[in-house]
Amino acid sequence: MRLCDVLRRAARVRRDPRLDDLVSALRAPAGADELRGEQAMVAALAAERRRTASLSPSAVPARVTPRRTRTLVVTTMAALALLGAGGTAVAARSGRLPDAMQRGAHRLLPGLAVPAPTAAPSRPALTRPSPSPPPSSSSPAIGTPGASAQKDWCVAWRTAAQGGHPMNGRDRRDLITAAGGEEEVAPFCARLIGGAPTSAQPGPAKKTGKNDKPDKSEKSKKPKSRSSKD
Amino acid sequence: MPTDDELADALTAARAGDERGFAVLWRALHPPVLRYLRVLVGDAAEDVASETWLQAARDVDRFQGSPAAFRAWLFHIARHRGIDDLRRTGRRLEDPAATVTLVAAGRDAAAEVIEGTDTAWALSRVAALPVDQAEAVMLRVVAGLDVAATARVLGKGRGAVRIATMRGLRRLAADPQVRGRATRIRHDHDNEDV
Repeated sequence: MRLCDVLRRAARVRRDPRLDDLVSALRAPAGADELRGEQAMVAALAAERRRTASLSPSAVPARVTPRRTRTLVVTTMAALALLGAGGTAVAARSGRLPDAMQRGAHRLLPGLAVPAPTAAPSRPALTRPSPSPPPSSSSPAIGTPGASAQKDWCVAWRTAAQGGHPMNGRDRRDLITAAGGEEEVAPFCARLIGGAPTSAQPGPAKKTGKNDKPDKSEKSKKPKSRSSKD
Repeated sequence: MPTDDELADALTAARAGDERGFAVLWRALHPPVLRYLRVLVGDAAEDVASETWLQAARDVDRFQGSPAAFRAWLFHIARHRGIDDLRRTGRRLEDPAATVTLVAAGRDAAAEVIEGTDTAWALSRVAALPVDQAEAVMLRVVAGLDVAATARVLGKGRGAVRIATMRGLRRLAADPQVRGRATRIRHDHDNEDV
């Protein structure tokens, strides 16, 4: 059964011939503007899916035509950026996607300063003196993970080490890389955020899907709409 | 318009993270989703549509069903994202005030964004309906959902959906703008549209 058959069947709800023009306008084929940003959006969706499923992105190489995409991307990226941190776009700009995806994003978004994946995952070294300003927070994921991000990791590491909330797996990996080894994390963090080096190490992170839905808490705070039931 | 088989293949591919799958789904279903959201949230439709698709991309592995069911599932997500957006901006779905601003803002915004001014105009007429009727009309007529699926998306009974659709269409047929337009351009619009 074709989709248009479904639509045609649904059209039976309309009896009044005076509605013909209105209904055909409502169902008119998509205008170019409605399909604007298709390639960028489709690429973002596939990336989001792969990120969620942790599938190997190399199995499904991105097919893009960079030329046209560049213009399309600007609008779509603006929309995606609005979606908040954790978005693929943000991740791509800060170079935090898995390598193959980062490579795809780099190719896809040449005008947007998406870095190519680094061959070896080297993080800004701890030797940087960094009199870092207090994390001005609103979007800590943008920009390279600098000292403030590392401090956040250290806090999370400590929390996890003390039996608290398990640490996000990617941050954990990044922290270990930045410290130069798992056993180096405690002294590394002691230098960064002070306090006694904690010897205990948090295990691998449990599944934390929560980062994907930053709007959850906000949602629950809002008054319940009566709309969905009546 | 892709066949159901093609959509089913696209779903499978999309689940595996393949861009081609998403391309087929997006091309087929983004326009009606965007139009539905234009009626629901006005200017925010594009942003909300993007959120809708990203959530669908994340959760598509949890969805196991036919392409028709996927369509209903997608509109279900779109509706909830739309309601979230209304809440964020301090509006409620059934707010008469929201509906009024939607008509004004919705029409201008739609005219800017959508090339086909006919479509923008038509959406503005639907947006002028009481929201329950507007939603029922969009889901039945534009999204192509059947009564049962529409009822599930809206969280209503089938009877309520039938009534809301009927009232909405009746009201549209009586809309002076719709009537005026229908008499003006009653020539080569035949009904083979889809």
